[in-house]
Amino acid sequence: MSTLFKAVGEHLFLAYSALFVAIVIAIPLAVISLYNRYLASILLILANLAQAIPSFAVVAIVVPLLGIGFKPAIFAIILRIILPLFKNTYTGLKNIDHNYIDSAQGIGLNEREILFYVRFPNAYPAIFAGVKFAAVIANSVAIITSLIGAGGLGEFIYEGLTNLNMSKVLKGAIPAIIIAVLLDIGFTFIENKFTPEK
Amino acid sequence: MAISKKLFNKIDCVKIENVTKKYGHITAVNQISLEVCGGELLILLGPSGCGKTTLLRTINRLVEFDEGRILINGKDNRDFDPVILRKNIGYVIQQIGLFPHMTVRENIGLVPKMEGWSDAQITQKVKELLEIVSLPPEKFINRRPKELSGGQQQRIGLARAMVMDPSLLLMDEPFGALDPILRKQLQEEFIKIKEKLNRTIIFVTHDIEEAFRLGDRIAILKEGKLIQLAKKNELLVNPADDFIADIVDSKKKFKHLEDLTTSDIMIPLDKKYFFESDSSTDLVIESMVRKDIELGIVMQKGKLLGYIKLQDLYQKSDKNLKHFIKQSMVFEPLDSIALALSMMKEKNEFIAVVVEEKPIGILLTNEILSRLI
Ligand SMILES: Nc1ncnc2c1ncn2[C@@H]1O[C@H](COP(=O)(O)OP(=O)(O)OP(=O)(O)O)[C@@H](O)[C@H]1O
Ligand SMILES: [Mg+2]
Repeated sequence: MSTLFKAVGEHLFLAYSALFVAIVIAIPLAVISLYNRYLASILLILANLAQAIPSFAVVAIVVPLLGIGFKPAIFAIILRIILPLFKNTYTGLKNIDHNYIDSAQGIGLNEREILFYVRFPNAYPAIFAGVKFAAVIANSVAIITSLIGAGGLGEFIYEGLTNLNMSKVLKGAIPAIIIAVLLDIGFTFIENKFTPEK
Repeated sequence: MAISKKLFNKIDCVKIENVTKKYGHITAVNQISLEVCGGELLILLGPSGCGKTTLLRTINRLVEFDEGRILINGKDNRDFDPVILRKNIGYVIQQIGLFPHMTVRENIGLVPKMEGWSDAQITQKVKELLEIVSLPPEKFINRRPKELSGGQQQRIGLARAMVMDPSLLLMDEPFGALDPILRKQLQEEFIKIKEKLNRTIIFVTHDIEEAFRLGDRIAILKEGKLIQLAKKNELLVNPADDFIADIVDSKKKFKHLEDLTTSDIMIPLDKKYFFESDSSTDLVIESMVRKDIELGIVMQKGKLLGYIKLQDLYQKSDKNLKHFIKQSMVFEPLDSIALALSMMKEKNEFIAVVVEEKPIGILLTNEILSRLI
């Protein structure tokens, strides 16, 4: 049992530290892109490409670059989720009814004030949707990264599968499913609480 | 936090000199020169696309123009920081643009908050402004824009534009999207506000009636050019060309008072204005807000009882609609307008109802007068 708790802990730590780092990078990147069209278009093209790459391939490609273990695993997860996070944040900040920007400028707000008081509140739903999506992916990629020695619940699943030990597979899979469900409920709750109805 | 200083306490003159703004091949504003005097309300009038909005926005530099210059009290508006300039110039945009995620208080109080005002100061100022635009503060201060009718949103837009006490106010078709009767009511209210506040106002419209009702002087634009800038009467007597003659012609046909009947000048009523006297006040308020009207005709068993005004319904909480009904004068469609007008003036009535079996239209005294100028 204690090994299971340890695995759950590893899994959560892996997925959520990656998610955290990705958010911390993606949001400022989205803000900078708002004022730099070239950066924005490059990142958007990358983001669209990244959508198409299977998570498994992302994990695989990290190994020749960084080897195996916990750090390459976090890196792989960040790599997998950062672009979708960026894309959602950027489009949320960018796609705002122009009238709001117009009246914000008209009453004398500066760019920074418009960003924080008008663009961000308008973008919250999109940002939340992005974070939720990224969390789901991080959760599943954190299972795959067990293959490159990052530990966690995936280890149970893969070991169980190779030894045809079904109870071991379930020991890994059931907590993973529970985490995914709780995650969804939790995010939906936060989303409803913090996004103002229009 | 830097507190922006007041750039001008009073407008002596806004001088627009040879201003041109091009968008690609389109010359939105073409070599326009005009002067706005302190304290006046200048109308920019003209058909859609003639450059009214663009010209208005060169003044607070939401549009950076290509040629010419604009002097406010003798100072070039490009010498100011644009953000500070805009804090000193009230601006009401065509589409209102209240922030949907903020309450009325937050919308109006946003710039003061950026300027470091205390919460108490903001609340007090917001309440003051809500009073000015005839919205009971306790009822409205915490609402969000989606809980307001179009007319109420428009009032908040005006309150927001006035929060920093700007001596210059730019208004872009503020009543353009409203129902005709409500538009007249708000114009009426706006005239009172304007007299009380004594600001310099530049007001865009493409409604000739509105221009004549509100303006001290009227500038008529066409395809980016200023065609004529004159007092109202001068436009009627001395139109600069056929284009202007055409525009003001619609007013001339009303010059023969004796031939006109109430049905020529009334504003027709449709179904949405009618309410039954046994409805509860709350439901009527809700319905008026939803329909975006502020005037209602109250009927009982097919008989006209009088009219109600949304503003009155907010004043006290009383379920019985009958307590809010005002008696109205009644005319027939073929009554002469001269008669109607003199009777309304005598009784000091603003509103009368035209009835042909049932109410079919509304007469507003000031509307009649403005059409007869
Ligand atoms: N940002 C812009 N980019 C390109 N063209 C523009 C822009 N803003 C205005 N124009 C063009 O400039 C001309 C004048 O537009 P403007 O909005 O000033 O007209 P308007 O008189 O305010 O019209 P309306 O009564 O419809 O509001 C139009 O031909 C319009 O298409
Ligand atoms: Mg316009």
